[in-house]
Amino acid sequence: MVLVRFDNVGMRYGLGPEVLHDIAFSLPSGSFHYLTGPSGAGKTSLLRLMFLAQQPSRGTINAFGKDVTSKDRKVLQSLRRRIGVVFQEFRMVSHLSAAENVALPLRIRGMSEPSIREHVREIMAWVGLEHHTEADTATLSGGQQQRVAIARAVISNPDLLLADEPTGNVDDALAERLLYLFEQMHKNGTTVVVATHNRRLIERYPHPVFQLDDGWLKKS
Amino acid sequence: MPKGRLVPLLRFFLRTEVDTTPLGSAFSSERATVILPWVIGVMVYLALLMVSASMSIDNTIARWRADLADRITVVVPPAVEGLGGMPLTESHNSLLSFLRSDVSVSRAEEIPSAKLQLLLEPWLGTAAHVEGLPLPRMIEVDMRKVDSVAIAQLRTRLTENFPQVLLDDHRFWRNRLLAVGRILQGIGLVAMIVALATALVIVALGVQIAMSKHATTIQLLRVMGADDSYITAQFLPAVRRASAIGSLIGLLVFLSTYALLRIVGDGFAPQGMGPQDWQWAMVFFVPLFLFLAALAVLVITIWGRLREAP
Repeated sequence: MVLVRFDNVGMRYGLGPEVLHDIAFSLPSGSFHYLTGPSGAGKTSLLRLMFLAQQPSRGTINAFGKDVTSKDRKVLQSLRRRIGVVFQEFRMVSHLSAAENVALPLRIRGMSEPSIREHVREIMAWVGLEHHTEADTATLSGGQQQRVAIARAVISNPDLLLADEPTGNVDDALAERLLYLFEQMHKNGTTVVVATHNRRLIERYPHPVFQLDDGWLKKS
Repeated sequence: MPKGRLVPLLRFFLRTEVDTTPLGSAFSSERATVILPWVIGVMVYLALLMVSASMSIDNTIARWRADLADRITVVVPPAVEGLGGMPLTESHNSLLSFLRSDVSVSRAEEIPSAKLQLLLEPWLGTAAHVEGLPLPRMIEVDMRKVDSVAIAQLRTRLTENFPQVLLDDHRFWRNRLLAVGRILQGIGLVAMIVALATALVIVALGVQIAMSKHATTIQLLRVMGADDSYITAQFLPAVRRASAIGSLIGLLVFLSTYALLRIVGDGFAPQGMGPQDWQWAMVFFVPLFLFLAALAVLVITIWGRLREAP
């Protein structure tokens, strides 16, 4: 089953030049893909299209069997709940604790407080931060913040997990540990796309690679 | 708005169990949110003052209309010794009889000197005696129907029989006073609308600024699948509390001002000053309206901003 399909997608910001050209690919359900390419190649833009924060300038995007270029807000909102996103710059909500940050997707879904606490406890243990649940996120290291971000992305058990340079700000040992978490999600049936420059990790955990170059997509 | 949408909207506005974890506490503690109740309070107070002034004018206009609607005054100048060579008392009786027998007149009564003294009291004080003053004698005349033709005909008949007597048609200055009153009333209502609109614009600006300040978090919530209602709910309790407290402050300060004026101006306050009877409903409606309008502005502002993005 195809989870996401891009057909002849082009994208530009406002009236600027096109940053993605004729993008066409399919993501089978349960697959794992890397997205690589030099800085400015369009990786973040492609991920923004995939997590439905942006609309394409042309072409069609089909996610979870629905045409997401229809701009139906309710459809988009319900589809976004099936996607987990790990941002390169973590995007912690600074006035919330680590646990409160992780709990956000469950709160949005209206889950009860006892269930939220139980899920958060489990997921914080899974990423190895069970002793930092009440920590102010500003006091956490970059690696710890990245693990909080991953916990937040996966706590709602998304069908599609997108990660934008999740290993960009961490050392090799931690990068490997983070990728191990993504592998576990993949083994549990989640479709995973990881944007990364790290060739060593790609070789360590080999999966199909989408290569972006100046807005053009090649699959290898 | 159809009833089917109004009820859920009101329920949304008034619900108490709202998850505001992501932004609620941050928004509530911001300086702009803290001063919002006071700004709304001042605007509600000003709006109520304007409403009250407008109502006072309306009451005065209504009284003028009722008192002077069918009334004219016949004035006998003080220099006239006697009308038509008759002795003074006899000539006045003759004038009164003439007026009372006229087909267009329903009532004619001379204004007694005690009432004249009362009218002149603000200028002459209580010690003055009007009997010794060269004042005109005045006769109040209620007409069956007041229009230009009837007054002109009465004036002609009066002039033929009592050439020295003057007829004062109140309509001229009454209409001008009514026009001035209506203009003042209109200015009061416009000022009230401006005060309320200013309060709502401040609410909208406060929410806009907060949304800009927390744009990253809002975007994050949207990426996680938060719908517009969830994001609106982040700001709802703080705006609801600010507009409720502000409306109450404005109302209470206005009621205090009104009570103070009644106490200080006891006996001197003109009749019809401030709201009367059903007009009190308007006084309580203004803060309620602002409370509800602030919530509507909140929703319109947030939904408008959110709809700019997919």
